[in-house]
Amino acid sequence: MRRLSPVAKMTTVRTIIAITASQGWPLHQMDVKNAFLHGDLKEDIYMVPPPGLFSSSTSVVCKLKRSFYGLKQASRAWFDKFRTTLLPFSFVQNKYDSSLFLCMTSTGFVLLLVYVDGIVITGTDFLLISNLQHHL
Amino acid sequence: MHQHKYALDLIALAGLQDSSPVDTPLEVNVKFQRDDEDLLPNPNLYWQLVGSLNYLTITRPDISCAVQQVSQFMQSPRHLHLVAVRRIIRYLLGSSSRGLFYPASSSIRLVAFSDVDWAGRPDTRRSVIGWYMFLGDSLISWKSKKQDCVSKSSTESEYRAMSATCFEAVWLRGLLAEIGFP
Repeated sequence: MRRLSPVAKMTTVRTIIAITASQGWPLHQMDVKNAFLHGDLKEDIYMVPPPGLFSSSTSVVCKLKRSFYGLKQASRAWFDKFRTTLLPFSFVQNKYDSSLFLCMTSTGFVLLLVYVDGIVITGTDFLLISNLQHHL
Repeated sequence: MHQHKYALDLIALAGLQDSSPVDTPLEVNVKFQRDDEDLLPNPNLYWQLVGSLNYLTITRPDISCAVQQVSQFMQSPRHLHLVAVRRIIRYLLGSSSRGLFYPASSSIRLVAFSDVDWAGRPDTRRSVIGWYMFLGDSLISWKSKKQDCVSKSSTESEYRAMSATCFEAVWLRGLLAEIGFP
């Protein structure tokens, strides 16, 4: 089972911030709420119902529809979901740092950096940046 | 860019809020060894403090060399090593708001510096390498790291340091080229 979610290298983060500052690009920061609940599961996972869900003790278990905090694959599932969400925007995952995504457009480009559920967006295509902020 | 609050929390965790600050993170001419003095009865605090210091090096290149040294004793920390950790934290006490400054309209020119001590660890005879990389006036990458093998001459260790630095520089140039700054 693959359970790791890429986090940006700190050098990449500092490089992006340094370039953003020197070029005067806008820098946007976002957090994804309840990030780990967004992931899709590839496996069937059942859990013991939390106390109080059923009034009497029962042998019923709950099947998880989505990934959940505390699951080993939760962070991976979330990252995969995030990556597929970016695909329609034609973002390309960077080969030097897999948590960096780049999108070239006719009016400029957009850089997107992921650190688990924290996201930094910068670039020169302001329209796409604001579209992205609404979409995510 | 700074981790001021994190530094203050770390000082509080070590219980050193009311001690006197020092001007340097390490004492001059002191070499720590694996078996200096007695073992700490409970290494939990040591692990916690050194782990936190490591996280603080994200914006504090000035302590990365000192933190590298105390990280060498994670396996069996001793009293003298904890004294060194406390000194780093007392250094933070006088400089907790320090961080990195990224100026506007700085150039995109990558400059790298490397250095090494030769057989600086009395225990293992390994050398510790260090590098700094600037993008224009902005410091973006640095490292203090024990070499993987024993260098038999200072020249050899210098070459190893340069090689490790170039390794990072090649990666950074690739990254910069990808985002439009070849």
